[in-house]
Amino acid sequence: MDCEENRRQIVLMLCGELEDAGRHGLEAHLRECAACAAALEEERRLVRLLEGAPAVEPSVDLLEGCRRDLRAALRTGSAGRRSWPFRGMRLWPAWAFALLAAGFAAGRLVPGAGRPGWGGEAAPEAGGTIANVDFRDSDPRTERIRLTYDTLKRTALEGTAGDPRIRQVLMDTVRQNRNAGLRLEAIEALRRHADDREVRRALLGAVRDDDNPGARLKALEALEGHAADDPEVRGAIVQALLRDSNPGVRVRAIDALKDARGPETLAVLRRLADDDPNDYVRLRSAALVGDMLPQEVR
Amino acid sequence: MRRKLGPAVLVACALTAPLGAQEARYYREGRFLVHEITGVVREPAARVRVETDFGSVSAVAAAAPEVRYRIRVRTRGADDAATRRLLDDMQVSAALSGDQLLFRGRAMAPGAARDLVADFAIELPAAAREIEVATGAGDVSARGLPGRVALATRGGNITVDRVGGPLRAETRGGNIEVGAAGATARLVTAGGSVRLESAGGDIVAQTSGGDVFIGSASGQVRAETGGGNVVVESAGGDVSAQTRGGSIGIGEVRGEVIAVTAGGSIRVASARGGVRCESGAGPIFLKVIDGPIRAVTSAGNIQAEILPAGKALFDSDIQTWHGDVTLTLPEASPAAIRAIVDHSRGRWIKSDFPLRIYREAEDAGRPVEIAEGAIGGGGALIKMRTLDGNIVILKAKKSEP
Repeated sequence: MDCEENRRQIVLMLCGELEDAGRHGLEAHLRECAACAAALEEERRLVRLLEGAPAVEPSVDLLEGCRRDLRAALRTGSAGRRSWPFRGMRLWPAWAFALLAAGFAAGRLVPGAGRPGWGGEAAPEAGGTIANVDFRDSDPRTERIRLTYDTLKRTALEGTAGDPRIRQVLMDTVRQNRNAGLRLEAIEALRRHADDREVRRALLGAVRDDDNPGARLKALEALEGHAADDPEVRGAIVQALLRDSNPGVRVRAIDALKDARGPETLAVLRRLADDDPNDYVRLRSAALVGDMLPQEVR
Repeated sequence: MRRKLGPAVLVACALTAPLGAQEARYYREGRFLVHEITGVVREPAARVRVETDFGSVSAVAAAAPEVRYRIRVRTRGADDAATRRLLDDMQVSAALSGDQLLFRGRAMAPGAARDLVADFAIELPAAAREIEVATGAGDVSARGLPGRVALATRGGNITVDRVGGPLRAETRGGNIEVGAAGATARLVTAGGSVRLESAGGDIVAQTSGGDVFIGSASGQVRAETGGGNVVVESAGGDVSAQTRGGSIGIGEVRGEVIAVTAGGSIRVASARGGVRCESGAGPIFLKVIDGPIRAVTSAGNIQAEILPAGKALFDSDIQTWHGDVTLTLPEASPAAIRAIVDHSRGRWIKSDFPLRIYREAEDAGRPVEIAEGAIGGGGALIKMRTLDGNIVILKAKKSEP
């Protein structure tokens, strides 16, 4: 196994997902290879960094992400959009649980384009689940929206995203609707309401999990004004910077950190400044690191 | 089952005009009850339109001279009575008016789209000049149709192949995939990817988010995405490609290329009408460019190759804020070169051509290295600039005999 392959295995090892034989082999290699040992330390530092971020309640986003992945997999027959580093690994318990929950959810949702809300999120009508959301009209100037959806009966709403009922439908759309066009439209409608915690969570989910790069980009833009005061937003931006497959999203992410860098981002920025294949990201990261360090350390 | 459910459902699904042979039947498909209407319209119908509140629609060409259709409505209820009531929620009609045959599907209850699955399958004769489809929710496909095709869905994928006339496809969310289109194509999705293999005319492809791929177009191409990559393999006319985030790859283009990305690389294999490209962050690679070049990136290398030899060059401007510029020129081409490296700390400009290279200081005191001179007797002005990087000017290798 070469160093490159070993470095891929490091991630698995830190997650406790490497089988014994592979782990022993990797440990032996790490004892002999200083570069890979350094990579292990770097990865550990990153893990600590991410662990140091405020805890994110896993249930809603994780389950919604799994549900969307499951639907995507059912639709396309493929495993998913991104080249995820854990591909091909054993099914870990968390994923098993998530898939179980996703299967349960999928049973509730078929047929119909829209999908009902998930536990804890109040639907617009008490006890009702919404489906077939449709934006009939929207005016960016006044922010007024007219939309329709089905519960037990067809319902129409008109107003701005400041209206809690409309906001709820929009958030459900961002989180759950499989129609990318509707998700993009809902993100656009919510972008000026990102100071609301629930809205922010929906947008964070889109930045992390939406399979449409336009939606991720738009959600990132909606959130970047909150990066300075919300570590969770910063965390999502850093994740996008590290993992997103779209260079535009990554460029936007590094720009978003300009005025919002926290101490926890320093290690990530250093790494990007050294290694990132995109010149712009590398340069901006180096500049941000320079700004963050005390004068004498630079 | 047919006797039990027949009357009520037939009322709900009555065809409004006597259009030749028609059959309706019910059958079970697993746990679902299916109401199927099939029919043949022998009267000439040059135009066919499908309007339905929901349901997928497929239209294909057939050798037969008549229009054939099959409409299926499928549902599952708690019992037969409930199932029958659900089926009543979809009313289907067909009517011939002049040379237009209209199929209409209407949801009679708010939840119909959730409870019912409908699909329209229509076979059209070669004489059909036009088909229009509009569905409130569902996938749409068209194949082998010789005339004009207009497809719209408020949510669903659109698939098209082997259409002869102008094509319009629009979805409020979903992917658009087109194989061969014989004329112009306008493909718009509010979110999803757009893919077209070939078109015999101009192409417009737009998505609010998703990748765009165009195989070949005999005319102009306009490809835009709110986020995603854009690829245009070949075009007979100008190409305009824009993305708010993603890479752009352009193959052989007979006209001008305009490529703009907020973040990502730009690659152009060949453009006979010159290029204008701008990247917010990413490298630019330009090969076999005939015509003026304007290339700007805020960070990334730029490589540009101006060919072929023996033709007049055009004024060009190549700039990067951070990165190297490499320009390849035909040996005997008449041009004036002006290359500038700001903030120069060493020898940053190299040239195969005899240029005067010198340094001076800006007002702020920063060193600037400049190379300038005429080659081939002088001609079009080619400007290059980098704030921090190298500039290399190369002679093109002579092609093999």
